[in-house]
Amino acid sequence: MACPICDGEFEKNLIFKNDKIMVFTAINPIIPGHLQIFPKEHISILEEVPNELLDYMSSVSNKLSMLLFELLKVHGTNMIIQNGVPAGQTIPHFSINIIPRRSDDGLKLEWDMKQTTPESLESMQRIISEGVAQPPEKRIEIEEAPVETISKNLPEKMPVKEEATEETDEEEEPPAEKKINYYLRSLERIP
Amino acid sequence: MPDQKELTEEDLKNMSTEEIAELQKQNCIFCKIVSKDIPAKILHEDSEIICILDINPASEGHILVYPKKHYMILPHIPEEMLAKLFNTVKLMSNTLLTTLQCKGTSVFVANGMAAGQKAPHVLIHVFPRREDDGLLEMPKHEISEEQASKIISTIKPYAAQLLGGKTIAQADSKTKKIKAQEEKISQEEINEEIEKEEKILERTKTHNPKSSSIEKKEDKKTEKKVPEKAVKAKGVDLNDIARLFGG
Repeated sequence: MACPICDGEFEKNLIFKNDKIMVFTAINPIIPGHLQIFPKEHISILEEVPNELLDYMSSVSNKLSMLLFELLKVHGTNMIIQNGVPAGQTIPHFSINIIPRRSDDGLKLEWDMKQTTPESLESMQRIISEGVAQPPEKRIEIEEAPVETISKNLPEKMPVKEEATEETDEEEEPPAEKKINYYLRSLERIP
Repeated sequence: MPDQKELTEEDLKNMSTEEIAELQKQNCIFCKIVSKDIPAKILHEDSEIICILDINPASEGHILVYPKKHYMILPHIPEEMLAKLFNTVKLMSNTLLTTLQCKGTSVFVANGMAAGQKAPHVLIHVFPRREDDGLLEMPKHEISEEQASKIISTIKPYAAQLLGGKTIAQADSKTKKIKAQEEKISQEEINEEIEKEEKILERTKTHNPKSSSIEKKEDKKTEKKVPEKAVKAKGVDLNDIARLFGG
């Protein structure tokens, strides 16, 4: 399956990698410092992520969130999962977005809060509660069809403008790292 | 509520973070939903986590998943609980996909007011998404190659150490010394910088207690002491984030 993440098209964005996950600077960043955590294995959507891996990814998300607080001196972070094409997922590989936030960064990561009716809430409660109460075996049976549809709906290949990155040794640390303190200082000035 | 009215701004200033946390807890709508003092459409709950319907939804079926215990921000949550929360999020997302026939879901967490957090209780939003609904758009921001590589080189060494890698600060000190001779930077400054790096990592590490089981035990025994302990471990920035919510 053509997946730009598995094909290593974004190796230049790589920040960390182990046998479970990969951390990249975001493929489509909405602000400098925006990070994305991907499972190493090709997994399309949240529903397909094994619980254990999800545990690990949540822990990594929180740690990276803290790291951004400290390193970028931001006042907050957003953690966002775009699960499926309608949710804005453009790469057919599950990821958790970590977005550093400042009160004056001008980002509008919000939605219009809709007014709803007691009747609508009640009917939603009934439908969803019944769904949750389904025994896991039964739920998985029902779930398979939609999950597949979602996976298939994802574009097979993303339009990637960047030229293929040169082959680099992943373990090799770029010389730029040595200048970390200089960069740390200059990064603090990034608006 | 009457207690709060009697409090002046001066009182609030003099209160410890622990006391403010306690006050917030008493007035927290989401805690009152847990204790059933405020009605809500509960979809699912267990001993630690509750899922309710958002009364001002982004889309029909908008769910809030949150811990029953009062945590102000996500970094305060022990890893074990965080894992449970995310697994519940997965369950709810799964349920939305199957029951509402939507083709996608968004999961959203705001950490701190700057990130759009509105209530002083950690909430994870899960809501159904449909084509072109225009909710939660994430427009791409153009970042220069130079800036991008700065970000990578800044975060990379810390991430490696934090998530299991080499000790960059120490391994790097030799190179720094050589470089310092070239650039005529004083030894003191180098040491300072190394210390700074280590400090940052130290602080970041302590945010996530390694043995959450120990923390859990303490939680049960001395619930009141937890905020103080948590705050102490967090370093300064976290307190600021939590304090932004006021009393």
